[in-house]
Amino acid sequence: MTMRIRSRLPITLSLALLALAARPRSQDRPLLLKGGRVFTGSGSFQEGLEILIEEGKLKKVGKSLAAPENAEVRDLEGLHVTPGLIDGNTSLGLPSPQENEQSSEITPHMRVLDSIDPESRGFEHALRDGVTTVYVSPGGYNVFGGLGIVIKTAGPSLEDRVIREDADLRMTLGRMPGMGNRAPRYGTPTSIYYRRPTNRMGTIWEIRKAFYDADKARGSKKGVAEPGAATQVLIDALDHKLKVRTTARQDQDIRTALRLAEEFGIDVVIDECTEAYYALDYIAAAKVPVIAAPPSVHIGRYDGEVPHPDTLKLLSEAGVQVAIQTGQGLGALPLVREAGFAVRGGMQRDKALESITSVPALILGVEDRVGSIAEGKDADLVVWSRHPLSPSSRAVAVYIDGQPRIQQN
Amino acid sequence: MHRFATLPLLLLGATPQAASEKLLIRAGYAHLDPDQGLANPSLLCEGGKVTEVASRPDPSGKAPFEGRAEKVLDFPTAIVTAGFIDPHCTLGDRSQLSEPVESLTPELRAAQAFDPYDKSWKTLYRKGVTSVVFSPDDRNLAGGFAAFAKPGSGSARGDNYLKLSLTRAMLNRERRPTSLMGGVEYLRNRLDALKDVTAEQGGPALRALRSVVGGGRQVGISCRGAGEIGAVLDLVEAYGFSAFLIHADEADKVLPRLKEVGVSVVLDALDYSTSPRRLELPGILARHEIPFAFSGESKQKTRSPVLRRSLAIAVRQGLPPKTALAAVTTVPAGLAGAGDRVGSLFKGRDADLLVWSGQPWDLRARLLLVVRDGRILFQPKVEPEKSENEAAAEPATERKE
Repeated sequence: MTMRIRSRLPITLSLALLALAARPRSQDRPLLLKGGRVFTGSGSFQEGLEILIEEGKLKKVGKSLAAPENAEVRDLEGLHVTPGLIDGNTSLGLPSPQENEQSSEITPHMRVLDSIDPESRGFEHALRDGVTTVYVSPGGYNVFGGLGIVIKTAGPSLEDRVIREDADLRMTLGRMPGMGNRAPRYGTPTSIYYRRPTNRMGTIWEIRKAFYDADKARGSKKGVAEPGAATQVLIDALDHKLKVRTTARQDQDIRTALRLAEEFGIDVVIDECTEAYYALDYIAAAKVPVIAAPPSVHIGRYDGEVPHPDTLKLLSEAGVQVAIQTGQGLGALPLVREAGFAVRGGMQRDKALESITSVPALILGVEDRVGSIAEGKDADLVVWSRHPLSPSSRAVAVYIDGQPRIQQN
Repeated sequence: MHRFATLPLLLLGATPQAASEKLLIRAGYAHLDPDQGLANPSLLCEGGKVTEVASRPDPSGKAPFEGRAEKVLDFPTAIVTAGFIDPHCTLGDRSQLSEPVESLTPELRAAQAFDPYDKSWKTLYRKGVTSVVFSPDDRNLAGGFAAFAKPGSGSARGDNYLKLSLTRAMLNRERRPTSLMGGVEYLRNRLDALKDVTAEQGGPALRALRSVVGGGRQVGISCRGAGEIGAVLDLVEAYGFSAFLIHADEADKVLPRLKEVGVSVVLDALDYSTSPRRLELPGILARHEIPFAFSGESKQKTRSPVLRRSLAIAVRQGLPPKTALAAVTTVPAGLAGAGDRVGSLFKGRDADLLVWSGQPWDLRARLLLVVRDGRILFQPKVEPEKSENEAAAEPATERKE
């Protein structure tokens, strides 16, 4: 597959003056970046660290590196370098923020890859804000929405861009999956939406039944029909081949998610986790990672949840593995600004940076390729005009696989 | 052999028509096909076919085939082209060309919704469209089989391509699928189900799907955005469809892949309100050697499905006239599986031809004659004011004092 990305920078006056190259330029020569302050994905910014990029990978990271003869050397004096940012949950490239196959409430086998438009402008906007990898998830109107993907925001072809196909199964707790459904109490059922679930406990009943049936199908003897595609995905989740991305906003849903994880022995990642401040002990004790709702969004969405500015700080201090997402249709700011809001809420700066680089990489299972600056990793880097969490910072250069996708003077 | 293959739905006598007669048409130039022209052509039409094609050595000398025709039409400076072909025609919303209760209805046939009395047929042939593929619309995932029809002939053959759709129009909140990924999954599911049943088993829907897997019958697949096109190309590769894309508004974003998979494209009609980006699309496809045809319809629901307007606008946008002419004649004829019958004017082809006062891609040129299957369908009698050149192009036999 070769779907060429065309970069289209905004035509704002200030950027038009600054923008040098909108189209990716070929970077076949080795590239040595030196003189910048480098955040490798953990710890804090380090002085004097040099990065040698060769063939799309980070060839060497260290001090006083010897540049190969034909290498291009770029001096980043006064600039900051971080790994390409990773957004833990988005709906980029999807036709709608909540992309669901609503003909059934249980559609674990739907693949978001089939709905995604890799040429969508959304990827470009994210790229400009320094985001190089995103997780794209199906919507939350189904109990089981389907399988998401981990994809880079730019690259020569869709195949090159997809890091993990069929990554994480989306499961939604709370009111959202029952929102459009009706009970046939006062009339004749006339549409497909007269069905379960219509409320919270119905949602959980659906989840229990689906996992129970999948477990039974897994243990079935020969002669019984093979499990269908939907059941097979649930079996994979029970077998720890897939993580279950569980959207839980209110305290009670968070507790339910942890209970379900224990009951069925599934690997749960809690998505949004808006009222985490009520359940810190439980979450920390269960060692469940969290991809938290964007901290700048102060209104509850579907479940009557009450966001709190210091949720990320509390989660981080409780030792929970926490990443930040911009979410699906939440009206969030760019990812790096959301990390800035987390810092405003009391989160440590370095932890906030980790929560948009190395931690989401770890949670998404792509830490061997992206999320940190270390030898052998993909050369996905962002060069910032100043400390990225400073409100006036901007990405002056964004590299994906060693190719400069955004480059400004 | 497929049971639809020989199912002509004949509704003769639907439209008043002149009887086929032996016609001799002489003109100044003929585009026999987009690549081959003939100066001073004489075309003899008998029994609905072009039986002889020759060039007159000298316009003042004795013309060939004289005495063999019952009627001679002379257009000394006019230009003859083959009748235009619309490879994806749904006659707008009125024709009820989808069965909305179920999204996968590959067994249905558009021929059964064919209304020979529809006013649009007259509009079509008066604008130079002499063949259409009457197709199920975009509102079903698998709409059914399209039908080849000639406007004004009263008949449609229900054995053309299978129409699939992965556009947003196919989504319906009241039945599956409600999402693109749901549509792809549903289609894959049914196509994979073919492995579990023999050719004799399964209902008409599975039999219809079986006829297209592995490159059997042709498939026309509607898609607009780059994401939809990508999903379609995945399906084409996975199931070995012999396919062409319909609409493909964002084809410019996936050019290398289009070429790699080797599919043709049926573009929406170009209009004066068409976005600049879509106006450039024919030129881009031509530069990348991706064959394309024009449909007479577009998302804006053009009321009069005029292929000639698309032809003229495309040429004005810089498309070579040959490629533009191919996009309304030979390419759609190939997509309709009728390349040996229509789309060109060689000996033995159907006598579907148009006589223009100038080049058809020049909007100043007027249509002087429409012949379909050797019958004169349309010949304007009352002429508006004309220039000197155009007056000379008028048939001498029809000229009034």
